[in-house]
Amino acid sequence: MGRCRVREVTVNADGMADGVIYYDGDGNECYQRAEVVVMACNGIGTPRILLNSRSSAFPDGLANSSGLVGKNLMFHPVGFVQGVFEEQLDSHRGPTGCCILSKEFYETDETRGFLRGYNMQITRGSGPFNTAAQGFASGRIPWGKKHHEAFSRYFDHVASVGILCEDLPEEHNRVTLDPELVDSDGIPAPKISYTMSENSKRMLEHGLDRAEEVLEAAGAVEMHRSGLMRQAGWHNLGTARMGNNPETSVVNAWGRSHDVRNLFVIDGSVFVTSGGLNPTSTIQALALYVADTMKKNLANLFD
Amino acid sequence: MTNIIGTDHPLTAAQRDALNALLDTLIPPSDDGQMPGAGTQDLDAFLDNPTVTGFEQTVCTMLDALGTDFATVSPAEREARVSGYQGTSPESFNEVYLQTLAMYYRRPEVLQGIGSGEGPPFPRGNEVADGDLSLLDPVLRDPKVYRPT
Repeated sequence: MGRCRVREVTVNADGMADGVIYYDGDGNECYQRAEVVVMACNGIGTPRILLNSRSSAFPDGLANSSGLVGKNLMFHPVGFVQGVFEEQLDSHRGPTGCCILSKEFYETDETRGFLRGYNMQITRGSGPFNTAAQGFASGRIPWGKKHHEAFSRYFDHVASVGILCEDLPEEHNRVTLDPELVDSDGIPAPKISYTMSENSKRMLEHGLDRAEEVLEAAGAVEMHRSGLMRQAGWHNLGTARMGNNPETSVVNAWGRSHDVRNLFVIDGSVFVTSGGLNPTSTIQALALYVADTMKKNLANLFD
Repeated sequence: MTNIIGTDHPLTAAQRDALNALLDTLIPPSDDGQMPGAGTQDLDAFLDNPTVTGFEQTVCTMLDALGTDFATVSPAEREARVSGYQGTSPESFNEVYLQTLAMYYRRPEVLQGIGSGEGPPFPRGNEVADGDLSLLDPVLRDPKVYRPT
């Protein structure tokens, strides 16, 4: 089935999840019965469905006795510094994601003025088109007679240091249901409330300072500092956090809801901090771990 | 998709001349002759821009604004008119310029000229030079900065 949207998870008289109500691609309301419900909609979609799954037994949304479904939303504040070097770096070749990764400033050092830390990610320069297009956007590579000279200064002469911060949980950063806005099936839209913390702001500035030091030590003759990026770092995490205490977490160490014993979450919602790196591999590992745990504990999965 | 039959092309011969003059104004040949200008015989490919709705019309509107004599005026006058258009219609200008860059920086002679070589640089076609891994020795001597799990 494709192009389906789940509206809510249903529960039976015993408080167990027994299916989902969804809309198919043509907008028809449908029902899928289930023995086990596994949420995999990540940090915004999962709490959106759980909060919309209200019943007399779960008036505040499903799996939400802690009141934490949707809360502690975390992202990854990201910034970078671009260094320009005199020598040719061959920097338009090779993988783009990250050439060198440093965790030197990953652990907490309270003398820095913030908790936790960040990854430094050294990335190569861009290919020809992106070099020219980004250079045009920044005003550094104009069109016209000076184009070639400016282009040759930047193409193959750039390396960047990215700073990816570990955002920490704060309950006021949250996903709720919008009281008015709905999607085309009438399902309430998620409403995102997020304010970047002072801790994350200090962390990012510290990282950008270190990035400049690294590039200067490496011989950069020109640096361009880009602070918090609006178009990056939107990894949606933390809104159904994992823990042993039902009062302070949503799912247990198996990824199973404390409240609904056949409801599992296997996405970025279960993160308790964001971790200072891209989360997909960790989400995949958690999903595999939860699936493996379910398989190993079939006999007492719902105990 | 643009009709590839030249006689059905939406631009008149005069507009084609003006468009080539525009492209050569945006990216002129380099003074040392190493890099060509962005003017091209393959204007059909330039106009076939799937990322911008109504791109052909955007180009025609820009050419109209630049004047029917654009191809015959001096390079300085062309620059002045293009600058003026950029100021009054920045979004349309950006669409045309980005397409100019996209077409220009895929041409084999251009890639050759900037030292990139033809074709995508990764993953095939490039040998990775042996690195000096002894550079990592000071890093490896550093104490552990992460917690065991």
